[in-house]
Amino acid sequence: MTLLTRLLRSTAALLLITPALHSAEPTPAEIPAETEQAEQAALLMRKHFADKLPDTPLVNDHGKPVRFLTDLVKDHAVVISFFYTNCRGTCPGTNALLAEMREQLAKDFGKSVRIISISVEPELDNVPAIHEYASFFRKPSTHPDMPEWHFLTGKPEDIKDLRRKLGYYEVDPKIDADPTQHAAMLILGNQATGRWGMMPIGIGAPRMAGKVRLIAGWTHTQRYADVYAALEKNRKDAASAAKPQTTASASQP
Amino acid sequence: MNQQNNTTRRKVIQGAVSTAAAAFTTHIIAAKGTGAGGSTGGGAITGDNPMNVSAPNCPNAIQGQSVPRWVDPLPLPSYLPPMSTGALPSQYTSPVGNVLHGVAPEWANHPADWDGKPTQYYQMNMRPGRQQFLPSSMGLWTDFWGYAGRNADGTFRPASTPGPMFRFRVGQPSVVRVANDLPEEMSVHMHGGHWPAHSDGHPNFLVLPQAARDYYYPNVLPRVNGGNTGAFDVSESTSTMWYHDHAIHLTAQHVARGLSGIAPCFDDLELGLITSGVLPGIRGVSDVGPEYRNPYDIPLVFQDRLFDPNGNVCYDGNDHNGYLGNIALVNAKAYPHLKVERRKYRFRCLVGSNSRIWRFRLSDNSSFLRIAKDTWLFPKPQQTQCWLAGPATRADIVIDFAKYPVGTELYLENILDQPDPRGPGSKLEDENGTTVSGTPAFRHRLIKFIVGARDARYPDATITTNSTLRPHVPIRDNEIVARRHFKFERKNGQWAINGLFYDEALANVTPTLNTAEEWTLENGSGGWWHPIHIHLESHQQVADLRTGRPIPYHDRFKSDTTMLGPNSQIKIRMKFRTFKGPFVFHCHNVEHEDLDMMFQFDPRVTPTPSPQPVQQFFP
Ligand SMILES: [Cu+2]
Repeated sequence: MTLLTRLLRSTAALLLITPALHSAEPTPAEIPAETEQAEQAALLMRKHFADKLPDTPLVNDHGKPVRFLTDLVKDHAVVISFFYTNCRGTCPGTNALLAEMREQLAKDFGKSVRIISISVEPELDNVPAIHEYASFFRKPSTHPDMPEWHFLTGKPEDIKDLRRKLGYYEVDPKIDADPTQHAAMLILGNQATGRWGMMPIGIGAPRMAGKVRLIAGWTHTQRYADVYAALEKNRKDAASAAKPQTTASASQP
Repeated sequence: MNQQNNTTRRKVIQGAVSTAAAAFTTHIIAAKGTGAGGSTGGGAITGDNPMNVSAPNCPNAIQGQSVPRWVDPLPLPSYLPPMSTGALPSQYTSPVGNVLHGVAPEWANHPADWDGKPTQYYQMNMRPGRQQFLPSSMGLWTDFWGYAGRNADGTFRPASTPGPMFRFRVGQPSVVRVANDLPEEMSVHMHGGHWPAHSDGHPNFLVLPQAARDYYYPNVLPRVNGGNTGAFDVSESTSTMWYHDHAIHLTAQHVARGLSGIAPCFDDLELGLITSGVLPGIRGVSDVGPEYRNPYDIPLVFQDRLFDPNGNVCYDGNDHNGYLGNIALVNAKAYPHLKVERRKYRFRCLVGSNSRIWRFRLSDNSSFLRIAKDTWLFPKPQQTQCWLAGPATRADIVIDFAKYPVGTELYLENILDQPDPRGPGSKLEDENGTTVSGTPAFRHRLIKFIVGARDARYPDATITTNSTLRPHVPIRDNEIVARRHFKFERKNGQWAINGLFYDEALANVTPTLNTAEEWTLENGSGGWWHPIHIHLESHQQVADLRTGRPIPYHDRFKSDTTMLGPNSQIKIRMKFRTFKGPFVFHCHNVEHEDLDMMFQFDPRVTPTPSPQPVQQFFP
């Protein structure tokens, strides 16, 4: 499957800004079509830098065994969080953020993105526990494009290994053993494009949604719509100013 | 969770007391063996320790000790001349500024005396490339992302890493049109210079794929009194700059993939030091301006990488603690050799590694002269046996090979073991000295110098510890208008400054233009080392608050990167001149930078309380 066919799967971002681009002269802010060369280079990147995800065995909150790579991540954009059901600190905030983001993700990605929440205290978090927890945050939706939200547990050593390979760990073993250290960050990525990133939850849902588009987006358009919009705003501001933007250097001796 | 089960069988090397990654099943690369393959050791050189690293996501990495040594000559970055000077190159398809990301507002509106010499126009495109990073005898090729310089006839050179070498001249403006033929957004930071915010390589001022930005480098010095009139501050004139990618969240993997290059800059004072024979070079050839040739002035870019069995760089984009490699590269070549004449050479040594901290010395422990830190020449050379350098730190040194007989083989070696991304495990003040006594517990040879006869046509340089180089102007107490404190520490699995993560919309600090401030840079707990890089201008280290020791000579004048060891508190002073912001300062362990250990400072014309929204944004 090529990136161009993936482009068809992404929805709203394609239409987001294109009409505004053809207004003034000069018109540099046109979004170029994705080229074969860029696609090849992207695959080169993926081959060498991000194809090392493990196919960790996990169990979802319905008790069904799943594989991390094969069943959850492959061919998808993903937002990954860690939680534990006893968490009274940051987890509720993280999950509330994810619930809020899910609405925006439905618009930006549809079902091509998945939210994956993995217990970081699997010794205590059995299937009934995470199912009850999931039911609290994962509200039923009739929206046809609502992204799937998976809550998962598994064997402690498997999850520790997965966490390590996702870069979600502390070098100091004492700090690493503290589950509160693993609940305030989201991992964003796209297995097909090979691009990954990590974000703090504190930046809020709208900015976070922008980060998901930038990092996990399928197409040039989806990744950079916000940049083109900012360029367009700068150009309009400059054009509407009484005189052109003058010096940006110091004006006083 | 029981963390004690998977302890590693790390070879414990004196000086490295860390317990890195003991929490996880760890694959140790090259944990045993001593003698380097193919060693031809000259003189009294014996032994060579492997650079051990933990790399669980690169389990089949090529063992460092299996890489043959000293096979290939040192590659030299090729100089890129301007496509045109004075007039726009005919090969530009549009006027300056008429590309997606435009050009700095200063291009259209600046003081007349910025244009003392006609503008030079360049272009380079970011493209994939392929080079033999590993010794050619291994027969392996490495794919990378690099910079392809454009020739005056419009043709492109192949992408290279390090990228093409610019030579800038103070007082001569340059425009570099940078186009992006790669599939990810980029930002080119010209590190060590004094640039408009639009041209600085700010992490959010991008070059999108299939787009271009015109980087306007006025090559102008700040004025003694700030502002846009009056004498230029010659003490700020730049020497060894480098450029590298700085795109938000992507800097580390882009630098690891090859997006860096070197860009020396010259002013009349420095060219005069070549003319007068103080600095190495050929009179009448090396001192005539940027398009000179100088066989006695050689850049050495030090990096460390892991390689998969096919010869490609193994980089784990999901690991955010800091990338450490087990194989050392000099100018993107593992363990090269360099034939030198019996005379003095200037080496512009750049640590271009993502995270590794190095301590360099000559294998016979000889003294040499260090003449610069980062981008700025010292007032007088420093005699030393070694130097400490973390990511982005430059050291210009002068080695005198005249004392060695023809045929001598001599090595530059790294004597700092760092298997742990947190740092070398020792104390900053213990590593940052100028003497090496006894045999270091860790020695890893990087490049072999082979001494040959001197070309008698060209006189040797005369530089000594008494030579006068560049004047230094200390920032005085009564110039300080604000004092601020920044604490760098780990937070929630990321990296924070004063508890905050990077926010591109927020100017965390708003200094007033043409004033000076005093900042305390504090390293929080956890044993991590953080090299702190501040854009726009040099800063001056004035006090080591934790140890109370005087700042060493080599850190006392100007820096653009200040190393913080564990729990360090270093007080610095800095001026904010010429350009409105925003600019960034950040940890130059680029994995830390990418995961938000970065702040914006945004110099403004009138005093403004901070934080504020950024005053300009040039996406
Ligand atoms: Cu750091």
